[in-house]
Amino acid sequence: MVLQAVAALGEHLETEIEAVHLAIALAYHGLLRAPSRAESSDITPRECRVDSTCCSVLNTLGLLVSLSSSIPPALSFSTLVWRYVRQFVRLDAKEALQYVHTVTLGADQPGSIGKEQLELAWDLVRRVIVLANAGPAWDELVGGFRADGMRFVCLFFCLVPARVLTENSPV
Amino acid sequence: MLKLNDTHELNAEIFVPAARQAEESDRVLQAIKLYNLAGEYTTVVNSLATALGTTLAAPGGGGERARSLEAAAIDIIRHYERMGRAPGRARDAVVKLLRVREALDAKADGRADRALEVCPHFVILCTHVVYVNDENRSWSQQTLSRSTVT
Repeated sequence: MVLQAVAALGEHLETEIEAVHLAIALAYHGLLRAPSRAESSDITPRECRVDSTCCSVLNTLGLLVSLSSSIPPALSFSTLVWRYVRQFVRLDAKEALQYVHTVTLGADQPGSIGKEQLELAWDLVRRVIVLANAGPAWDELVGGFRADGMRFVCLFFCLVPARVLTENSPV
Repeated sequence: MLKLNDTHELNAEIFVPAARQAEESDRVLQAIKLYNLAGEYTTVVNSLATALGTTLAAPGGGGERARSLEAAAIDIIRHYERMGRAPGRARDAVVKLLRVREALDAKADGRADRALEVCPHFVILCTHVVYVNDENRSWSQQTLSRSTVT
């Protein structure tokens, strides 16, 4: 029911931000189940109607997946987050990256779902990098090298271990 | 954390695929910077050579975008030369293209002597016109059909 409520909030532009923040809180506490790729691909857009008789449910925006009564419903967290951040990704890529980062909260889900959530998060990070407006803010986002060859701090320092970045030698 | 364990994973999962996507989206400078961050030095100089060639041929020199690209190219090539990275024809081509740009800018500013100083041995090819640095060390403008390019 909670996931259905979040999905319902996510359907409306004016409550989308509440849906995102609720989903982040649920994911943080391990209460949000994300669908596996197989589950997501089992539902085609044609089935995007709430069907109370057979439990084959996908809400109109493809956020909620529930294939049968034996499998608990799942919320497509990455879709919810991306739909929200894409509105401001060009102008505020740093904030978009912070939101995208929360998708990794689902990385500890059992089976292949955890790994899939991680891959989805990486995919969204790449989208943020590509879509963000060029300029000093973009350089700040991904990092870079000054004219003297020294690497300068980027937002990735918050998201990956420092040793991963420092291994990369300057130009 | 994005759960990236090492540089290889960071490059393979984030920087290199993002650079490819940026390239496909015609965001050349971002692609080059990302390849540079990923340590794909050969790809960087190849992309720079192609991009600089394109901007030189573009009408009006390519505008602000071309200037940003050239500024980045100067920084990158300077460090590659210092560190001995990606040596070869592509890197030499980037150096020459940057000199051609400098010469064109000098000529546009009416400083023909500076243009000659920057690239005394080059024949600069534009879309329709050839600027030839002749034996008298002066630039002459000829149409492509009449000139002998050496």
